[in-house]
Amino acid sequence: MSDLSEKDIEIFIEAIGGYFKQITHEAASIGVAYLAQNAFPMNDFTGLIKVSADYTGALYFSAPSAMLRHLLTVMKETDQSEENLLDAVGEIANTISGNARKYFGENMVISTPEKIIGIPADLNRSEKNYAYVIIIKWKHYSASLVVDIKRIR
Amino acid sequence: MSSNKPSTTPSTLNKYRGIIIAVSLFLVFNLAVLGLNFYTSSTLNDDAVSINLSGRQRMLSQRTAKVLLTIQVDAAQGRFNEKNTAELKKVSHLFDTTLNGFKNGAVVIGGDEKPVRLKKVTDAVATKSVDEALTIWKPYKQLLLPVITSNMVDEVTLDIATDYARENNLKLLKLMNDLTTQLEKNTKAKAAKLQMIQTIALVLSLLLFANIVFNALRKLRSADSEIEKAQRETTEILNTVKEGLILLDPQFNVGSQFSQSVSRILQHDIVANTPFMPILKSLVSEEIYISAEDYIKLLFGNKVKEALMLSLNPLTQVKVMAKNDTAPRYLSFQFNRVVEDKRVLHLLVTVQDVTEQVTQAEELQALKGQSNINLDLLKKLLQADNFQLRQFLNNAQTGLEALNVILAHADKRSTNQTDLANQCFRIIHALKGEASALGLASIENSAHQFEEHLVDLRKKTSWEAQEILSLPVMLSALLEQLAQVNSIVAAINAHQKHANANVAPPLVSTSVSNNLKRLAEQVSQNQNKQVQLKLDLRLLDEMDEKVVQQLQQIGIQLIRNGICHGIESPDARLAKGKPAKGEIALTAQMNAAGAIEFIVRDDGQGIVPSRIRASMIASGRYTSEVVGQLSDKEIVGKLFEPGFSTASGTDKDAGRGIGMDLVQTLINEIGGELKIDTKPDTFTQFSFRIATHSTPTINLYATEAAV
Repeated sequence: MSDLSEKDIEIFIEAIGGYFKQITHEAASIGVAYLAQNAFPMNDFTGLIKVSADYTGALYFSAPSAMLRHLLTVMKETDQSEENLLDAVGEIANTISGNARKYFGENMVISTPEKIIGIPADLNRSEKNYAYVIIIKWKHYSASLVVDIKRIR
Repeated sequence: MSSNKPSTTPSTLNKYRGIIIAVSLFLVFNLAVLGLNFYTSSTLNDDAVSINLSGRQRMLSQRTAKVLLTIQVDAAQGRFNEKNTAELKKVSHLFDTTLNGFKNGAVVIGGDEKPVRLKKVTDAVATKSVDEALTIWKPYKQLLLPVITSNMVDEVTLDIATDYARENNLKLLKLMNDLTTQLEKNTKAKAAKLQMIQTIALVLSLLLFANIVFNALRKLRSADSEIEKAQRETTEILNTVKEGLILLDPQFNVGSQFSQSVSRILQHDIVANTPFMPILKSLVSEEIYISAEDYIKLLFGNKVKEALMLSLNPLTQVKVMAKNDTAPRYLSFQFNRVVEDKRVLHLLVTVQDVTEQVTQAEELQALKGQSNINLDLLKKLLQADNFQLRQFLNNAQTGLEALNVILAHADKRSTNQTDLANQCFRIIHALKGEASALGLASIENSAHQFEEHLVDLRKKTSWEAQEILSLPVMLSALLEQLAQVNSIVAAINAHQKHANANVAPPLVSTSVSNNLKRLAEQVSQNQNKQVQLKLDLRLLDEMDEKVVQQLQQIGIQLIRNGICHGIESPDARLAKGKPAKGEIALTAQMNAAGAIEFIVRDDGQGIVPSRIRASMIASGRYTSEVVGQLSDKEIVGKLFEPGFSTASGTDKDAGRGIGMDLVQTLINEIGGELKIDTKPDTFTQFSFRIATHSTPTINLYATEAAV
């Protein structure tokens, strides 16, 4: 059970929304939001942030390559290599962790974002917790934000 | 707090005692020197008179001798000049009185023919001269007497006098000379002495003055450095103190000294003379601002005691939202008068950011509430019947998971947002009903809040990000509560299994009956109605658990509806000639064909199309034109539309307009067909036949006619 408050989760969503708004001048919106115990909707490229201290768990931002390519195009980046697509998803994860650091302060220690191609390896979660899945829409693409964070203190 | 009065005379006197004493001494000393000067000049004046007169004595002695000799020469020639006699008389008299004056002190005729005071001589040399002169003068005076007093002086007398004069004239002159010299010497010595005393006095006076100046400067310098130190300390205090400190003047302006933290706490740049009220106005609500203004004015008035006003402070703990605040904060303002001479000079305002304390207190309160809920929950769970709990937990879990699937596929569906909200609503409403029947108040409350959110969403065609996010958050909260109940129930079951191994579990029908009775009791209490529940549900014991659960759900919704909309208030019932206590009957019975009929009947006000029409128009969602076009049957059919309600307000029991929709959905799931019979002010009956049920129809008393 993720016992983050609504406000806590909004911080992550706002970070992504703000990123798209700033870079592309086109806001990202929420498509749907639900709970998931497993079978997280993962896309081609994923930025992963692990948290510790008062919290435990991880946060994933996973986007399809087409979306990232489009994002790079908007940013006038012609090199659309896999590496650059990974960097783009990492950048968004970085923005999320930056905002989270500012909001949660020392109560949440946030790892340096990991960039993953394909399905993340450590998705086999032992606990039967519910994670929040939020589908983020930008243009006609859908990315997913999975907030699998639990407060332990 | 009230400030000390500013220091008055006593402490000032103490502070400057040294200087005051030094200045007084200086004045006394200077007065003494001045007195000495007076004395000196008056003494020297006296001395000048003496010297002057002793000089005159020299002249007088010679004049006396000269006039005497002139008289003698005139007499020898037989002449007599009266003037000479008169002059002799005058000069001899002057000489005599002056000489005696030197001896004894007397008032004599001075050089300007005016009387002057002649002091007697005191030193030995002068006294000797005077005494010797007197010895010579006394016989001389006797010899002169006949010459002065008569016009005719015989030559013998004149000769004797003249001889005496010749003999003693120079002696007398010398003595008078000596006297003058001595007096001059004395005066010089005295003047020198006085000069020395004056010089010493002047030097002493200058020293004293220098001392005063030095001490005063030292005192001033130390006072200055003390003030400087005090100011530095004050500034340090004001720069480091966590509380915001401001002095307000009677015009409500901020004084020149205030703590650095004030700007941060008030989220406003504060400088000296900033008007305070506009800052306050930007922070708090209009209502609080007005009472705060009154309060501050009252504090500046001298009439009311500060202690009495403490409880009136509207800013003891006030919620504020400054421009740069991302979340509301709580500030505490305290006002203390600074009083001098019974007049309020300033108000000391202490501002603290108490957000953390308030938040902590709120969290603590919430925790307290939480533990109450848990204890209450535990009590309810211990009382609850196992079958009901199991049913509830299964249904709730299944329902919420279904709801989650609805959420997950929300954007893939062709249905609109209102349908989506209604689907979720049915699940939450059913869960709420069951939770309420079990007395699980915290779950019922959470479900109720979820419903409220869904009601808001139902009205909208597109949802905001936050509104979408609230759905899984609320879902998560419910799931968490269920998990809590699950774990408690598991623990209770483990314990009970062990303890009551031989006790048979209650019959399903008993369990359902108890559950429905509890619900009816609760709802009728909430609605201030009196209701008697009549149940005949024995058939449930033979039915499939899922159907029982569905029937129970239907029962819950219809009982709830019956109490809220059917049964009238006791007064209204009595007015209609009915017993105050209403009756709701639930029956599950098998008909001749072996089908099970489920009947819910109340003796309330009935379903009256005209009343439904009126409340439809009153709700504002339907025009009278639309309502007028519908037939009575269509009007009653409206009751089954999601979101339709005739309840005037919304509470936990009714008003969401989803109950009948849920009933219809459940009956559809069971595969029955609902029939409604009603008569105004008499009764309403819902009945349906369960077409199929999982257990085979067993007719143990079948006649041969049975096919």
